[in-house]
Amino acid sequence: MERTDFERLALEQLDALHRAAFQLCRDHALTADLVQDTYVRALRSAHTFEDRGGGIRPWLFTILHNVFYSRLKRDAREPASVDTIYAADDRTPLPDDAPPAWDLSAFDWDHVDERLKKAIDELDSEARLTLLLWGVEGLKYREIAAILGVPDGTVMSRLYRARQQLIARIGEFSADLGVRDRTQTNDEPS
Amino acid sequence: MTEHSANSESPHDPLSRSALIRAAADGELSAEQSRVLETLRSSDASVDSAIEFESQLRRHVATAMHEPAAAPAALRANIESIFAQERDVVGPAATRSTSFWNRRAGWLAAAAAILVVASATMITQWPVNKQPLPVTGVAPIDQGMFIAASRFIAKEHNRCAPFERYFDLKMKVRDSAEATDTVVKLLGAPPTRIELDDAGYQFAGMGPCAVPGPGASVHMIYRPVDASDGAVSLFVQQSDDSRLLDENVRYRVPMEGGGALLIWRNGGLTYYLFCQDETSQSHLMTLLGAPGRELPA
Repeated sequence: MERTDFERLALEQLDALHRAAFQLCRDHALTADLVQDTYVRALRSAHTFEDRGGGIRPWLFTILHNVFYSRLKRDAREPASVDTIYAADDRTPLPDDAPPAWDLSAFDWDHVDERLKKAIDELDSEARLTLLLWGVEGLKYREIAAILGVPDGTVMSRLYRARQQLIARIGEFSADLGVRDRTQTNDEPS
Repeated sequence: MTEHSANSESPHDPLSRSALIRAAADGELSAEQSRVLETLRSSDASVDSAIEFESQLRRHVATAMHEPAAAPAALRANIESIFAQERDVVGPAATRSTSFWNRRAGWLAAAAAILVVASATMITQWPVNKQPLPVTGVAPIDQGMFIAASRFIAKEHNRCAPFERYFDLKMKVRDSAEATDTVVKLLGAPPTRIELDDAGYQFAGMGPCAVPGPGASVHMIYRPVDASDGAVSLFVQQSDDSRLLDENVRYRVPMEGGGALLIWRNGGLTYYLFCQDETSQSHLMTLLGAPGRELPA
């Protein structure tokens, strides 16, 4: 690939990379710094890039993720977070997922986005990045796993946990809105 | 009534009800899962709405996380500038220029862009001790600027000290005689000294910098002559305002990770010396004509 083509393709992904970096850092200055370092690293490794069908975006996400965790380990700013992340890369039994105690068919999605944003903010950085790759980027489990350097099952676990947390928060919201609560009726699952 | 998954199954079981629902919503069903899901649908009327719920959740997550929609223009400009600089470094020989000044405008733009990012970053994280700075009683130091400069210097030193790509990009002047001329052109006055071989450090490179505070600045970096670890950085900044620093005193800022930043003012220039080896530090300050009186900052 010609250098100018590489630069053009890489810059086309700037918005996506910036969004992902922001989910990791949650700080505009740190986000900008992380994105810049990612591009410096990408440029340095441009000769190693091979388009395996997914374009340059997954490759850049991988570099972004690696740079972020290299910094975390270097700075030891969030050692507990790293431990938590990798401790969660497991196939250990998860708690039974209790169903939402509300009627899905009565749920009003029009009023959920702000609550959802707050719920997402409460997730750890790795869960947010996984959610972003899944939700915004629309990547497959195996593509996310390749970016994060973890098994497919770990991605599924993270998505499962993240979705459970979001659903729980949405559930609180639905109760606020007066969505019919299953626990207050005699209805039973069919 | 439609219910979300009421399973007590392991989510790792790909054929569990909840795993089937999530896989269906995500378009990740295997052939076997598709078969099992069809069977489940025929016996459980709530499956379809549960799948729809998960799909809706994904769409709303996408909406909620689609911010910030665009990267800041300054960041884009900075990355484009880095690309352009890299082209100069690795491009065809015919397009290379040995003159730093031919690319001065681009470099200053890059330095300014780096300053934007770095100065925004310095508010929180970089390796300078974060204890409040005591008032020295010697000069009315702008302590906020002092802290900002210290953090900036620590970061720039750490980026250049590996002598890799960032060093190549920033330190375009590699000759000490040219460095002296460059300092005069940029700062309007010659530095006390450029060469530090007598203290065991060899000039490695110089480039324009953007130390926080008024006045242009440059960054010079030195390798130990004995090829050991422990580069030394000397930043020099225009300093016309004598109120900022007392010329009779040098100020010491201890740095996390060892070493200290020594700051003093001399002849209209402010010097920032970063060295991790205390013995060398003393020798360097003598060579550079730093004031003998030292105060903690």
